Amino acid sequence: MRNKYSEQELTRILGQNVEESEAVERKIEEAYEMIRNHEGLERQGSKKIWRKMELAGIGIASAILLGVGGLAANPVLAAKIPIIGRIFQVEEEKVSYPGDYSSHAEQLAEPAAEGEETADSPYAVTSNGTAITISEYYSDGAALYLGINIEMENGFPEAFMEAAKDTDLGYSVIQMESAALADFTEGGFGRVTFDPACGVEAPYLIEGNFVDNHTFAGIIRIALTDMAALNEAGEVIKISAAPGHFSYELVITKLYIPGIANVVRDEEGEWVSFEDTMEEIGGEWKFSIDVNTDTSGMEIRNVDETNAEGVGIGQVRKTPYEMEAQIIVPEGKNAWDYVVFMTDASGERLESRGGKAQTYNVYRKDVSKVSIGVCTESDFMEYKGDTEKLWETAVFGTEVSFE
Amino acid sequence: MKMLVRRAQCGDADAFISLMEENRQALYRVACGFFQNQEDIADAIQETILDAYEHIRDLKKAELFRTWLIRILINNCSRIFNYNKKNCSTDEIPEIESMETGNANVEFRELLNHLPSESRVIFQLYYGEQFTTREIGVILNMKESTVKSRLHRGKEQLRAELW
Repeated sequence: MRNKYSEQELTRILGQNVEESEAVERKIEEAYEMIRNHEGLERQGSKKIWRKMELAGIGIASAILLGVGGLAANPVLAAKIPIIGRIFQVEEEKVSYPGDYSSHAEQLAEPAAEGEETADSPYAVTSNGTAITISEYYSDGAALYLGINIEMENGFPEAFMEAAKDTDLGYSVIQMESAALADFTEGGFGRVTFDPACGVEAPYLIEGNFVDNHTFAGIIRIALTDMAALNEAGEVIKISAAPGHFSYELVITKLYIPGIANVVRDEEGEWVSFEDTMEEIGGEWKFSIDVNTDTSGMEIRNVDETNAEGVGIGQVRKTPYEMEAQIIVPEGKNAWDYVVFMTDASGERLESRGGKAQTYNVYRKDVSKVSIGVCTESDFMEYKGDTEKLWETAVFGTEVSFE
Repeated sequence: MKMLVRRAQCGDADAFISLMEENRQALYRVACGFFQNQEDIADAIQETILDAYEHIRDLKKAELFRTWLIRILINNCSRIFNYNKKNCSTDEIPEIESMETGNANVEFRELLNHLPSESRVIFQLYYGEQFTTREIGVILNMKESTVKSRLHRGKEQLRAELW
Protein backbone atom coordinates (compact mmCIF):
# COMPACT_ATOMS: atom_id res chain seq x y z
CA MET A 1 0.00 0.00 0.00
CA ARG A 2 1.35 3.38 -0.97
CA ASN A 3 1.95 5.77 1.87
CA LYS A 4 -1.09 8.02 1.72
CA TYR A 5 0.43 10.61 4.04
CA SER A 6 2.58 12.77 1.82
CA GLU A 7 3.94 16.04 3.19
CA GLN A 8 1.07 17.86 1.53
CA GLU A 9 -1.50 15.47 2.96
CA LEU A 10 -0.07 15.82 6.45
CA THR A 11 -0.29 19.60 6.13
CA ARG A 12 -3.82 19.44 4.74
CA ILE A 13 -5.23 17.02 7.30
CA LEU A 14 -3.57 18.46 10.37
CA GLY A 15 -4.25 22.04 9.29
CA GLN A 16 -7.89 21.73 8.31
CA ASN A 17 -10.77 23.07 10.38
CA VAL A 18 -12.10 20.44 12.76
CA GLU A 19 -15.56 20.56 14.27
CA GLU A 20 -15.51 21.41 17.96
CA SER A 21 -17.56 19.49 20.47
CA GLU A 22 -20.35 21.10 22.45
CA ALA A 23 -18.24 20.83 25.63
CA VAL A 24 -15.43 22.85 24.04
CA GLU A 25 -17.76 25.50 22.65
CA ARG A 26 -19.44 25.89 26.01
CA LYS A 27 -16.20 26.25 27.96
CA ILE A 28 -14.81 28.78 25.49
CA GLU A 29 -17.96 30.90 25.71
CA GLU A 30 -17.79 30.72 29.51
CA ALA A 31 -14.23 32.04 29.40
CA TYR A 32 -15.25 34.88 27.09
CA GLU A 33 -18.13 35.77 29.43
CA MET A 34 -15.76 35.88 32.41
CA ILE A 35 -13.41 38.12 30.47
CA ARG A 36 -16.17 40.47 29.35
CA ASN A 37 -17.33 40.70 32.94
CA HIS A 38 -13.71 41.12 34.10
CA GLU A 39 -13.93 37.97 36.17
CA GLY A 40 -10.94 36.36 34.48
CA LEU A 41 -8.43 38.30 36.54
CA GLU A 42 -10.05 37.32 39.84
CA ARG A 43 -10.04 33.65 38.99
CA GLN A 44 -7.05 32.81 41.08
CA GLY A 45 -4.44 34.36 43.29
CA SER A 46 -1.30 35.76 41.83
CA LYS A 47 1.15 33.43 43.51
CA LYS A 48 4.12 33.00 41.29
CA ILE A 49 7.29 31.04 41.77
CA TRP A 50 10.31 32.49 40.02
CA ARG A 51 13.03 30.14 39.05
CA LYS A 52 15.66 29.84 36.42
CA MET A 53 14.89 27.49 33.56
CA GLU A 54 16.73 26.56 30.39
CA LEU A 55 15.32 27.15 26.97
CA ALA A 56 17.13 24.33 25.23
CA GLY A 57 15.68 25.24 21.86
CA ILE A 58 17.45 28.57 21.69
CA GLY A 59 20.34 27.77 24.01
CA ILE A 60 19.80 30.54 26.53
CA ALA A 61 20.14 29.62 30.20
CA SER A 62 19.66 33.07 31.68
CA ALA A 63 19.54 36.67 30.59
CA ILE A 64 22.33 39.13 30.81
CA LEU A 65 21.23 42.71 31.22
CA LEU A 66 24.11 44.97 30.36
CA GLY A 67 24.83 48.58 30.42
CA VAL A 68 21.73 49.78 32.21
CA GLY A 69 21.91 52.95 34.22
CA GLY A 70 23.00 55.96 32.30
CA LEU A 71 25.08 57.08 29.41
CA ALA A 72 28.86 57.08 29.35
CA ALA A 73 30.79 58.70 26.52
CA ASN A 74 33.87 56.92 25.24
CA PRO A 75 35.59 58.93 22.58
CA VAL A 76 38.25 56.25 22.11
CA LEU A 77 35.69 53.73 20.94
CA ALA A 78 33.91 56.22 18.73
CA ALA A 79 37.18 57.17 17.06
CA LYS A 80 38.08 53.57 16.17
CA ILE A 81 36.02 52.64 13.12
CA PRO A 82 37.28 49.44 11.49
CA ILE A 83 34.90 48.09 8.82
CA ILE A 84 33.33 51.47 8.34
CA GLY A 85 32.63 52.50 4.80
CA ARG A 86 32.50 49.00 3.41
CA ILE A 87 29.76 47.30 5.40
CA PHE A 88 27.54 47.02 2.31
CA GLN A 89 30.41 45.52 0.39
CA VAL A 90 30.94 42.85 3.04
CA GLU A 91 27.34 42.04 4.00
CA GLU A 92 25.08 42.93 1.06
CA GLU A 93 24.97 39.45 -0.49
CA LYS A 94 24.53 37.64 2.80
CA VAL A 95 21.34 39.17 4.21
CA SER A 96 17.73 38.30 3.38
CA TYR A 97 17.47 41.44 1.21
CA PRO A 98 20.53 41.10 -1.04
CA GLY A 99 21.60 43.81 -3.47
CA ASP A 100 24.64 45.67 -4.84
CA TYR A 101 24.07 48.64 -2.53
CA SER A 102 27.82 49.25 -2.27
CA SER A 103 27.77 50.38 -5.91
CA HIS A 104 25.37 53.20 -5.08
CA ALA A 105 25.99 53.87 -1.40
CA GLU A 106 26.33 57.31 0.12
CA GLN A 107 29.16 57.34 2.66
CA LEU A 108 28.44 58.81 6.08
CA ALA A 109 31.26 57.87 8.48
CA GLU A 110 34.73 57.68 6.97
CA PRO A 111 37.16 54.88 7.86
CA ALA A 112 40.17 55.92 9.94
CA ALA A 113 43.36 56.62 7.99
CA GLU A 114 46.17 54.24 8.93
CA GLY A 115 47.98 55.32 12.07
CA GLU A 116 45.59 58.16 12.67
CA GLU A 117 42.70 58.63 15.04
CA THR A 118 39.53 59.76 13.40
CA ALA A 119 37.63 62.73 14.76
CA ASP A 120 34.29 62.03 16.34
CA SER A 121 31.63 61.62 13.70
CA PRO A 122 27.91 62.45 14.11
CA TYR A 123 27.32 58.98 12.70
CA ALA A 124 29.35 57.27 15.42
CA VAL A 125 27.70 57.30 18.87
CA THR A 126 28.88 55.58 22.02
CA SER A 127 26.64 54.72 24.94
CA ASN A 128 27.28 52.37 27.84
CA GLY A 129 30.49 51.04 26.37
CA THR A 130 28.91 50.24 23.01
CA ALA A 131 29.69 52.25 19.87
CA ILE A 132 27.22 52.20 17.00
CA THR A 133 28.20 53.69 13.66
CA ILE A 134 25.97 54.23 10.64
CA SER A 135 28.63 54.15 7.98
CA GLU A 136 26.70 54.29 4.72
CA TYR A 137 23.19 54.33 3.29
CA TYR A 138 21.32 53.69 0.08
CA SER A 139 17.70 54.46 -0.78
CA ASP A 140 16.00 53.21 -3.94
CA GLY A 141 12.55 54.57 -3.16
CA ALA A 142 11.19 51.24 -1.96
CA ALA A 143 13.50 50.97 1.04
CA LEU A 144 16.30 52.71 2.92
CA TYR A 145 19.32 50.53 3.67
CA LEU A 146 21.73 51.51 6.47
CA GLY A 147 25.14 49.96 6.99
CA ILE A 148 25.58 49.64 10.76
CA ASN A 149 28.59 48.74 12.87
CA ILE A 150 28.26 47.79 16.54
CA GLU A 151 31.37 47.61 18.68
CA MET A 152 31.41 46.58 22.34
CA GLU A 153 34.41 47.73 24.33
CA ASN A 154 34.33 44.66 26.58
CA GLY A 155 33.21 42.25 23.88
CA PHE A 156 29.78 40.76 23.23
CA PRO A 157 28.58 38.27 25.86
CA GLU A 158 28.97 34.76 24.56
CA ALA A 159 25.29 33.96 25.10
CA PHE A 160 24.34 37.07 23.10
CA MET A 161 26.53 36.03 20.18
CA GLU A 162 25.31 32.42 20.27
CA ALA A 163 21.67 33.47 20.30
CA ALA A 164 22.19 35.99 17.47
CA LYS A 165 23.90 33.34 15.34
CA ASP A 166 21.23 30.71 16.03
CA THR A 167 19.26 31.34 12.83
CA ASP A 168 20.23 28.67 10.22
CA LEU A 169 20.08 31.56 7.75
CA GLY A 170 23.74 32.20 6.97
CA TYR A 171 23.65 35.48 8.86
CA SER A 172 23.00 36.61 12.39
CA VAL A 173 20.08 38.68 13.60
CA ILE A 174 20.03 41.34 16.31
CA GLN A 175 16.79 43.08 17.17
CA MET A 176 16.53 46.62 18.40
CA GLU A 177 14.08 48.93 20.08
CA SER A 178 14.00 52.19 18.23
CA ALA A 179 11.93 55.16 17.23
CA ALA A 180 12.29 57.32 14.15
CA LEU A 181 11.28 60.80 13.06
CA ALA A 182 11.19 61.58 9.36
CA ASP A 183 10.62 64.86 7.56
CA PHE A 184 8.42 63.94 4.62
CA THR A 185 7.37 67.54 3.97
CA GLU A 186 8.57 67.28 0.38
CA GLY A 187 6.06 64.47 -0.13
CA GLY A 188 3.23 66.37 1.51
CA PHE A 189 3.14 64.29 4.72
CA GLY A 190 4.97 66.70 7.03
CA ARG A 191 7.05 65.44 9.92
CA VAL A 192 6.05 61.93 10.91
CA THR A 193 6.96 59.59 13.76
CA PHE A 194 7.53 55.86 13.85
CA ASP A 195 7.31 54.66 17.43
CA PRO A 196 5.93 51.35 18.76
CA ALA A 197 4.91 53.17 21.96
CA CYS A 198 2.39 55.02 19.78
CA GLY A 199 1.26 51.87 18.00
CA VAL A 200 3.35 52.49 14.85
CA GLU A 201 6.22 50.22 13.87
CA ALA A 202 9.80 51.48 13.84
CA PRO A 203 12.88 49.66 12.45
CA TYR A 204 13.63 46.67 14.63
CA LEU A 205 15.85 44.21 12.77
CA ILE A 206 19.57 44.17 11.97
CA GLU A 207 20.91 41.37 9.78
CA GLY A 208 24.64 40.83 9.51
CA ASN A 209 27.59 39.01 11.04
CA PHE A 210 30.09 39.22 13.85
CA VAL A 211 33.46 40.43 12.59
CA ASP A 212 35.04 39.37 15.87
CA ASN A 213 33.99 39.13 19.52
CA HIS A 214 33.81 42.91 19.77
CA THR A 215 32.30 43.88 16.45
CA PHE A 216 29.08 43.23 14.55
CA ALA A 217 28.50 44.62 11.05
CA GLY A 218 25.08 44.53 9.45
CA ILE A 219 22.40 46.15 7.36
CA ILE A 220 19.06 47.59 8.44
CA ARG A 221 16.32 47.67 5.83
CA ILE A 222 13.65 50.34 6.36
CA ALA A 223 10.55 50.14 4.15
CA LEU A 224 9.64 53.42 2.48
CA THR A 225 6.30 52.47 0.90
CA ASP A 226 2.89 51.74 2.44
CA MET A 227 4.02 52.65 5.95
CA ALA A 228 1.89 53.57 8.93
CA ALA A 229 3.15 56.71 10.70
CA LEU A 230 2.01 59.25 13.24
CA ASN A 231 1.63 62.77 11.84
CA GLU A 232 2.11 66.01 13.76
CA ALA A 233 -1.56 65.97 14.77
CA GLY A 234 -1.05 62.59 16.44
CA GLU A 235 -3.11 60.75 13.83
CA VAL A 236 -2.04 57.47 12.30
CA ILE A 237 -1.66 57.99 8.55
CA LYS A 238 -0.52 55.84 5.66
CA ILE A 239 2.62 56.96 3.82
CA SER A 240 2.29 55.66 0.25
CA ALA A 241 5.90 56.52 -0.62
CA ALA A 242 8.70 58.58 0.91
CA PRO A 243 9.76 61.73 -1.00
CA GLY A 244 12.95 61.94 -3.04
CA HIS A 245 14.71 63.86 -0.32
CA PHE A 246 14.04 63.66 3.41
CA SER A 247 15.75 63.71 6.78
CA TYR A 248 15.57 60.61 8.94
CA GLU A 249 16.33 60.61 12.68
CA LEU A 250 16.80 57.20 14.22
CA VAL A 251 17.06 56.66 17.98
CA ILE A 252 18.10 53.18 19.12
CA THR A 253 17.54 52.39 22.80
CA LYS A 254 18.14 48.69 23.03
CA LEU A 255 19.83 45.84 21.22
CA TYR A 256 18.57 42.40 22.08
CA ILE A 257 17.99 38.81 21.10
CA PRO A 258 14.35 37.96 21.68
CA GLY A 259 13.25 35.11 23.83
CA ILE A 260 9.76 34.49 24.96
CA ALA A 261 8.39 36.19 28.02
CA ASN A 262 7.12 33.14 29.79
CA VAL A 263 4.74 33.43 32.63
CA VAL A 264 3.17 30.04 32.53
CA ARG A 265 1.89 27.38 34.87
CA ASP A 266 4.04 24.36 35.46
CA GLU A 267 2.73 20.84 35.78
CA GLU A 268 1.91 21.37 39.44
CA GLY A 269 -0.27 24.33 38.56
CA GLU A 270 2.10 26.88 40.02
CA TRP A 271 2.92 30.04 38.11
CA VAL A 272 6.54 30.08 37.12
CA SER A 273 8.52 32.52 35.12
CA PHE A 274 11.86 32.34 33.42
CA GLU A 275 14.29 34.94 34.51
CA ASP A 276 14.42 37.57 31.84
CA THR A 277 15.09 35.49 28.74
CA MET A 278 16.20 38.33 26.52
CA GLU A 279 19.86 39.17 26.05
CA GLU A 280 19.92 42.97 26.14
CA ILE A 281 22.29 45.86 25.60
CA GLY A 282 20.71 49.16 26.65
CA GLY A 283 21.71 52.72 25.86
CA GLU A 284 20.79 55.64 23.62
CA TRP A 285 22.23 56.02 20.12
CA LYS A 286 20.80 58.85 18.02
CA PHE A 287 21.47 59.51 14.35
CA SER A 288 20.24 62.06 11.88
CA ILE A 289 20.63 61.26 8.19
CA ASP A 290 19.90 63.43 5.19
CA VAL A 291 18.58 60.98 2.60
CA ASN A 292 18.60 61.38 -1.16
CA THR A 293 16.61 58.72 -2.91
CA ASP A 294 17.76 57.16 -6.16
CA THR A 295 14.63 56.18 -8.09
CA SER A 296 16.43 55.76 -11.40
CA GLY A 297 15.99 52.01 -11.18
CA MET A 298 12.33 52.03 -10.23
CA GLU A 299 9.77 50.86 -12.79
CA ILE A 300 6.02 50.94 -12.42
CA ARG A 301 3.40 49.08 -14.43
CA ASN A 302 -0.29 49.87 -14.01
CA VAL A 303 -2.01 46.53 -14.59
CA ASP A 304 -5.43 47.45 -13.16
CA GLU A 305 -7.15 44.21 -14.11
CA THR A 306 -9.55 42.03 -12.14
CA ASN A 307 -11.47 38.79 -12.56
CA ALA A 308 -15.27 38.67 -12.71
CA GLU A 309 -15.47 38.75 -8.90
CA GLY A 310 -13.38 41.91 -8.70
CA VAL A 311 -10.11 40.35 -7.46
CA GLY A 312 -6.98 41.34 -9.33
CA ILE A 313 -3.83 43.41 -9.49
CA GLY A 314 -3.44 47.19 -9.61
CA GLN A 315 -0.01 48.76 -9.71
CA VAL A 316 3.20 46.74 -9.85
CA ARG A 317 6.34 48.44 -8.56
CA LYS A 318 9.83 47.10 -9.24
CA THR A 319 13.30 48.25 -8.22
CA PRO A 320 16.55 46.44 -9.07
CA TYR A 321 16.06 44.50 -5.82
CA GLU A 322 12.40 43.91 -5.13
CA MET A 323 8.92 43.85 -6.55
CA GLU A 324 5.55 44.45 -5.04
CA ALA A 325 2.09 44.14 -6.60
CA GLN A 326 -0.92 45.98 -5.28
CA ILE A 327 -3.88 43.67 -4.82
CA ILE A 328 -7.42 44.73 -5.75
CA VAL A 329 -10.34 43.21 -3.89
CA PRO A 330 -14.04 44.02 -4.23
CA GLU A 331 -15.92 45.90 -1.56
CA GLY A 332 -16.69 43.71 1.42
CA LYS A 333 -13.62 41.55 0.94
CA ASN A 334 -10.33 41.86 2.82
CA ALA A 335 -7.01 42.11 1.04
CA TRP A 336 -5.47 39.83 3.65
CA ASP A 337 -7.77 36.97 2.58
CA TYR A 338 -5.67 36.77 -0.57
CA VAL A 339 -1.99 36.25 -1.29
CA VAL A 340 0.01 37.49 -4.27
CA PHE A 341 2.71 35.20 -5.59
CA MET A 342 5.14 35.64 -8.46
CA THR A 343 7.31 33.59 -10.80
CA ASP A 344 10.20 34.94 -12.86
CA ALA A 345 10.84 34.53 -16.58
CA SER A 346 12.03 30.94 -16.08
CA GLY A 347 8.97 30.02 -14.02
CA GLU A 348 10.85 30.00 -10.72
CA ARG A 349 8.93 31.29 -7.68
CA LEU A 350 10.21 34.55 -6.28
CA GLU A 351 10.96 34.60 -2.57
CA SER A 352 9.86 37.16 -0.02
CA ARG A 353 12.33 39.69 1.28
CA GLY A 354 12.63 42.33 3.92
CA GLY A 355 10.23 40.80 6.41
CA LYS A 356 7.21 41.63 4.28
CA ALA A 357 5.55 38.50 2.99
CA GLN A 358 4.42 39.99 -0.32
CA THR A 359 7.50 41.97 -1.24
CA TYR A 360 9.50 39.73 -3.53
CA ASN A 361 13.22 39.54 -4.20
CA VAL A 362 14.21 40.15 -7.84
CA TYR A 363 17.95 40.66 -7.33
CA ARG A 364 19.90 38.41 -9.69
CA LYS A 365 16.63 37.10 -11.13
CA ASP A 366 15.47 37.23 -14.74
CA VAL A 367 12.40 39.42 -14.41
CA SER A 368 12.15 40.46 -18.03
CA LYS A 369 8.74 38.81 -17.74
CA VAL A 370 7.02 38.18 -14.42
CA SER A 371 3.88 36.14 -13.89
CA ILE A 372 1.78 37.36 -10.99
CA GLY A 373 -0.93 35.24 -9.43
CA VAL A 374 -3.50 35.81 -6.70
CA CYS A 375 -4.85 32.96 -4.62
CA THR A 376 -6.88 32.72 -1.46
CA GLU A 377 -4.98 32.70 1.81
CA SER A 378 -6.14 29.18 2.62
CA ASP A 379 -5.01 27.85 -0.77
CA PHE A 380 -1.66 29.56 -0.33
CA MET A 381 -1.14 27.96 3.10
CA GLU A 382 -2.05 24.58 1.65
CA TYR A 383 -0.04 24.73 -1.56
CA LYS A 384 2.75 27.19 -0.87
CA GLY A 385 5.31 24.46 -1.48
CA ASP A 386 3.83 23.59 -4.89
CA THR A 387 3.99 26.38 -7.49
CA GLU A 388 2.08 24.35 -10.08
CA LYS A 389 -0.78 23.82 -7.65
CA LEU A 390 -0.78 27.50 -6.75
CA TRP A 391 -1.29 28.40 -10.39
CA GLU A 392 -4.07 25.80 -10.67
CA THR A 393 -5.94 27.29 -7.75
CA ALA A 394 -5.17 30.96 -8.49
CA VAL A 395 -8.25 33.15 -8.79
CA PHE A 396 -6.39 35.65 -10.95
CA GLY A 397 -3.22 35.70 -13.03
CA THR A 398 -1.40 38.16 -15.23
CA GLU A 399 1.96 38.66 -16.90
CA VAL A 400 4.01 41.84 -16.71
CA SER A 401 6.93 42.69 -18.96
CA PHE A 402 9.99 44.65 -17.85
CA GLU A 403 11.92 44.32 -21.08
CA MET B 1 -2.35 40.47 14.86
CA LYS B 2 0.25 42.76 16.40
CA MET B 3 -2.23 45.61 16.78
CA LEU B 4 -4.78 43.27 18.38
CA VAL B 5 -2.14 42.08 20.85
CA ARG B 6 -1.22 45.65 21.74
CA ARG B 7 -4.87 46.56 22.23
CA ALA B 8 -5.43 43.48 24.35
CA GLN B 9 -2.41 44.43 26.43
CA CYS B 10 -4.11 47.78 27.05
CA GLY B 11 -7.13 45.97 28.47
CA ASP B 12 -9.34 45.74 25.39
CA ALA B 13 -11.40 42.60 26.08
CA ASP B 14 -12.89 42.52 22.58
CA ALA B 15 -9.43 42.65 21.03
CA PHE B 16 -8.35 39.78 23.26
CA ILE B 17 -11.40 37.72 22.32
CA SER B 18 -10.70 38.42 18.64
CA LEU B 19 -7.17 37.08 19.17
CA MET B 20 -8.59 33.95 20.75
CA GLU B 21 -11.04 33.47 17.89
CA GLU B 22 -8.16 33.72 15.39
CA ASN B 23 -6.32 30.99 17.26
CA ARG B 24 -9.27 28.91 18.41
CA GLN B 25 -8.91 26.12 15.88
CA ALA B 26 -5.17 25.89 16.55
CA LEU B 27 -5.84 25.48 20.27
CA TYR B 28 -8.40 22.78 19.61
CA ARG B 29 -6.26 20.81 17.18
CA VAL B 30 -3.21 20.86 19.45
CA ALA B 31 -5.24 19.86 22.50
CA CYS B 32 -6.67 16.93 20.51
CA GLY B 33 -3.15 15.57 20.32
CA PHE B 34 -3.23 15.12 24.10
CA PHE B 35 -6.71 13.99 24.97
CA GLN B 36 -9.47 11.57 24.09
CA ASN B 37 -11.98 13.16 26.37
CA GLN B 38 -13.69 16.32 25.11
CA GLU B 39 -14.14 17.65 28.64
CA ASP B 40 -10.37 17.52 29.17
CA ILE B 41 -9.83 19.37 25.90
CA ALA B 42 -12.42 21.94 26.94
CA ASP B 43 -10.83 22.43 30.37
CA ALA B 44 -7.36 22.85 28.88
CA ILE B 45 -8.54 25.44 26.37
CA GLN B 46 -10.57 27.37 28.93
CA GLU B 47 -7.60 27.48 31.33
CA THR B 48 -5.38 28.63 28.49
CA ILE B 49 -7.70 31.47 27.48
CA LEU B 50 -7.96 32.74 31.03
CA ASP B 51 -4.23 32.35 31.68
CA ALA B 52 -3.45 34.27 28.51
CA TYR B 53 -5.86 37.05 29.45
CA GLU B 54 -4.34 37.33 32.88
CA HIS B 55 -0.76 37.52 31.67
CA ILE B 56 -0.85 39.07 28.22
CA ARG B 57 0.78 42.24 29.56
CA ASP B 58 3.86 40.18 30.32
CA LEU B 59 4.33 39.33 26.65
CA LYS B 60 7.17 41.52 25.49
CA LYS B 61 7.02 40.97 21.74
CA ALA B 62 3.60 40.97 20.10
CA GLU B 63 4.85 38.92 17.16
CA LEU B 64 5.60 36.04 19.53
CA PHE B 65 1.97 35.88 20.71
CA ARG B 66 1.03 32.68 18.92
CA THR B 67 4.10 30.81 20.14
CA TRP B 68 3.47 32.06 23.68
CA LEU B 69 -0.20 31.05 23.59
CA ILE B 70 0.51 27.54 22.34
CA ARG B 71 3.15 27.11 25.01
CA ILE B 72 0.59 27.99 27.70
CA LEU B 73 -1.82 25.46 26.17
CA ILE B 74 0.77 22.69 26.16
CA ASN B 75 1.67 23.36 29.77
CA ASN B 76 -2.00 23.14 30.73
CA CYS B 77 -2.51 19.98 28.67
CA SER B 78 0.54 18.36 30.28
CA ARG B 79 -0.69 19.28 33.72
CA ILE B 80 -4.16 17.84 33.15
CA PHE B 81 -2.71 14.76 31.44
CA ASN B 82 -0.38 14.04 34.35
CA TYR B 83 -3.18 14.57 36.83
CA ASN B 84 -5.36 12.10 34.94
CA LYS B 85 -2.47 9.66 34.77
CA LYS B 86 -2.08 9.66 38.53
CA ASN B 87 -5.78 9.27 39.06
CA CYS B 88 -6.82 7.04 36.16
CA SER B 89 -3.89 4.56 35.80
CA THR B 90 -3.38 4.97 32.08
CA ASP B 91 0.15 4.58 30.74
CA GLU B 92 -0.07 6.46 27.50
CA ILE B 93 -2.36 8.68 25.49
CA PRO B 94 -5.18 6.40 24.38
CA GLU B 95 -6.68 6.37 20.91
CA ILE B 96 -8.75 9.38 20.17
CA GLU B 97 -12.37 8.28 19.83
CA SER B 98 -14.99 10.64 21.02
CA MET B 99 -15.00 13.39 18.45
CA GLU B 100 -17.83 14.53 16.28
CA THR B 101 -18.20 12.61 13.06
CA GLY B 102 -17.58 15.08 10.25
CA ASN B 103 -15.31 13.89 7.41
CA ALA B 104 -12.58 16.27 8.52
CA ASN B 105 -12.78 14.93 12.06
CA VAL B 106 -12.54 11.33 10.90
CA GLU B 107 -9.47 11.98 8.77
CA PHE B 108 -7.88 14.05 11.53
CA ARG B 109 -8.57 11.43 14.20
CA GLU B 110 -7.33 8.60 11.99
CA LEU B 111 -4.01 10.32 11.31
CA LEU B 112 -3.42 11.15 14.96
CA ASN B 113 -4.14 7.54 15.90
CA HIS B 114 -1.46 6.33 13.50
CA LEU B 115 1.18 8.55 15.07
CA PRO B 116 3.29 7.54 18.07
CA SER B 117 2.10 9.46 21.12
CA GLU B 118 5.36 11.38 21.60
CA SER B 119 5.12 12.65 18.00
CA ARG B 120 1.50 13.76 17.87
CA VAL B 121 1.95 17.22 19.27
CA ILE B 122 5.11 17.80 17.25
CA PHE B 123 3.34 16.75 14.04
CA GLN B 124 0.40 18.99 14.85
CA LEU B 125 2.63 21.97 15.55
CA TYR B 126 4.76 21.40 12.45
CA TYR B 127 2.26 20.36 9.80
CA GLY B 128 -0.98 21.68 11.22
CA GLU B 129 0.11 24.94 12.77
CA GLN B 130 3.13 25.62 10.53
CA PHE B 131 5.65 26.28 13.29
CA THR B 132 9.31 25.82 12.45
CA THR B 133 11.31 23.11 14.20
CA ARG B 134 13.13 25.85 16.07
CA GLU B 135 9.88 27.37 17.33
CA ILE B 136 8.62 23.91 18.32
CA GLY B 137 11.82 23.38 20.31
CA VAL B 138 11.09 26.57 22.23
CA ILE B 139 7.42 25.67 22.76
CA LEU B 140 8.18 22.17 24.00
CA ASN B 141 11.41 23.11 25.76
CA MET B 142 13.44 20.59 23.78
CA LYS B 143 16.36 20.77 21.41
CA GLU B 144 15.60 21.42 17.77
CA SER B 145 17.51 18.23 16.91
CA THR B 146 15.11 16.26 19.12
CA VAL B 147 12.14 17.83 17.35
CA LYS B 148 13.57 16.87 13.97
CA SER B 149 14.32 13.31 15.02
CA ARG B 150 10.80 12.84 16.40
CA LEU B 151 9.37 14.14 13.15
CA HIS B 152 11.53 11.70 11.27
CA ARG B 153 10.59 8.77 13.54
CA GLY B 154 6.92 9.65 13.28
CA LYS B 155 7.11 9.59 9.48
CA GLU B 156 8.98 6.27 9.58
CA GLN B 157 6.29 4.84 11.79
CA LEU B 158 3.56 6.06 9.45
CA ARG B 159 5.29 4.38 6.54
CA ALA B 160 5.77 1.17 8.50
CA GLU B 161 2.13 1.02 9.61
CA LEU B 162 0.67 1.70 6.22
CA TRP B 163 2.84 -0.57 4.09
